[in-house]
Amino acid sequence: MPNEANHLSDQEILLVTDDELNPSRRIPVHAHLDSCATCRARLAEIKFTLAEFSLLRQNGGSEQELPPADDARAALQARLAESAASHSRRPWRAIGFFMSPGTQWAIVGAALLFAALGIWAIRHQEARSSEVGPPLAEAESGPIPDKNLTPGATLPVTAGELCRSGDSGETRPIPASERQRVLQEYRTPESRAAEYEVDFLITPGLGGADDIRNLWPEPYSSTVWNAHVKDALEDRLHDMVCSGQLDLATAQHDIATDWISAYKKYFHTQNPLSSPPNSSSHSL
Amino acid sequence: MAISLSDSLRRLPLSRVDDSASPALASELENEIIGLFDEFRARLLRYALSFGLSVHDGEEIIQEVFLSLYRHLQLGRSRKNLRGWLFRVVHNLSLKQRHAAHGVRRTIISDGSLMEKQIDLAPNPEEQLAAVQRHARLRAVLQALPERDQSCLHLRAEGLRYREIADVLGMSLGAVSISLTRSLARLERADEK
Repeated sequence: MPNEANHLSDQEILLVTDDELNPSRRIPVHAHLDSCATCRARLAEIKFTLAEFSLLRQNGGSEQELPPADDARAALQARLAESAASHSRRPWRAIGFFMSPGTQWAIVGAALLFAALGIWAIRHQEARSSEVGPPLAEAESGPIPDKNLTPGATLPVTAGELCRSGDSGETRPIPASERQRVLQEYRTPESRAAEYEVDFLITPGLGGADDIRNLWPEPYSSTVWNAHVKDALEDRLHDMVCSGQLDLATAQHDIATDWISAYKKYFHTQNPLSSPPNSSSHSL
Repeated sequence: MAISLSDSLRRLPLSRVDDSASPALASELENEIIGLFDEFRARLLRYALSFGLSVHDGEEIIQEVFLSLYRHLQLGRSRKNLRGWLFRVVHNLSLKQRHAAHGVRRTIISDGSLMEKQIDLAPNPEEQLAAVQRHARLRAVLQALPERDQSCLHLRAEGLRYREIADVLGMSLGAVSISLTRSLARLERADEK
C-alpha cells in the first residue's frame, strides 16, 4: 500500500526483507522501522502476503500434483552416464593419460603453432575474398548487415495482431531463390555460401516482412554475436511487445538499426548471456 | 531460427572434454547433479508449468537443464548462484518451448489448476465457499498481471531473492521491487473485497 510521506515506501520495505537496501539508506530505514509501528506492521503484512501466495501456490501444486520424481531421476542418471561415457570414449584422452607432462606440453605447443598458422591462412584467404565483395560489417566482433542493402522492412500489422496470431516467426522458411538473391546481393562467393544463414533482420514475430530488404546473410562462424544470440533478442523483444513493456515500432527500429546494441540494451549486459553470471554473490 | 526444444537447447554452452577429470570425479559430479535434481526438480517444474506448458514438456526441460548444468560444471565454470542459473535456464527454455509448441501467447497459470486444490483446507462448507471465492479473486488478479510481474511473483514464491529474480528475468533490482510492489497491491486489494 502507498505510504504517507513520512513512512517507508513498499519498495523500501521489500528491499529490507532481502537486505538489499542502498547502503546510504540502510541505517535510516532500520532506525525508522525501530521507531514506527505502522511501518513494522506494513512489513509484517508484506511478508504475510508473500508467504500466503507461496503457500497457496505450493498447496495447489504440491509434490503429489507433479509426476513422481523417480522416473525422471532415472532418466537423468542414464543421460548423465551416457554423457560421461561419450567423454571417456574419446581416444586422445587415453593417449594423454600415458604421456609424460613434458610430451603433453610439446604437443600443446605444436598444436598452438598449427592453430596460429591456420588462423593466418584463414585471414589471408578472407583478405583475398574481401576483394570479391564485402560480406558484412563487424561491430565489436559481431556481424551486422549492410544498411544500404538491408534496412529492414515491415508489414502493416499491429502488436495486438502479432501477439494474437502467436506467430513468433520461427517456422517461416526462406525460399531458395530468395536466399540466392541475398547472397548475390552481398556478393558472397558461391564457394562460401554454406557459411551463412540467410535470416530476417526484423523477425516476422515483430512484423518483419518477407522482403529482400529485410534479409541478410548471417555468418555461422561468429562465435560471440551469433544467430543464436540474435534469436534470444528476438524472443525478448517479442515478449516485451506482447506484454506491453515496449511498443512495436521501437522494437522494430532497435533491432533493425543495430541488433547488437539492442541486445545489450534489453538484456542489460555487454556480452551475450550464454553462460551464467559470475558476479552474483549468492550461493545455493 | 530454432523451431524445437532440442534446437533451442543447442544454444546452451557446449560440452568440452576436461582431461583432468577422472572417472571418480565424473561420478562425483553425476552424484552432485542428481542431488541438485532432487532438491530443485519440483520447484523448477512448477515454474516451467506456470508458463502453460504440458507436464511432458516441463519434464523434458528439467532434464535438459540438469544436463546443461552437468556440462557447465564440467567446464569448471562458476558455482556461484547456481539456483539463479537453474531458474534462468528454465525460464528461457520455457519461453522458447511455449513459442515453438503452441505458437500462442499464454498467460502464466493459464488454467489456474495450481490454485484450485487448497479449498479442502477449509474446515466447513461456509469457509470452504469463502476460500473458493477468495482463490478465484486472487487467480483473476494474477491472470490480469503482466507476464513479467507474474514471473516475479512465481520466482519469489519459489524462494528466490530479489537479486536472483533480477538475474533470471534480466531486470534491475529496482524494477523487481517495483513489479512486486505493484503485484502485492493488487493482490491485497483483491483480498479486501
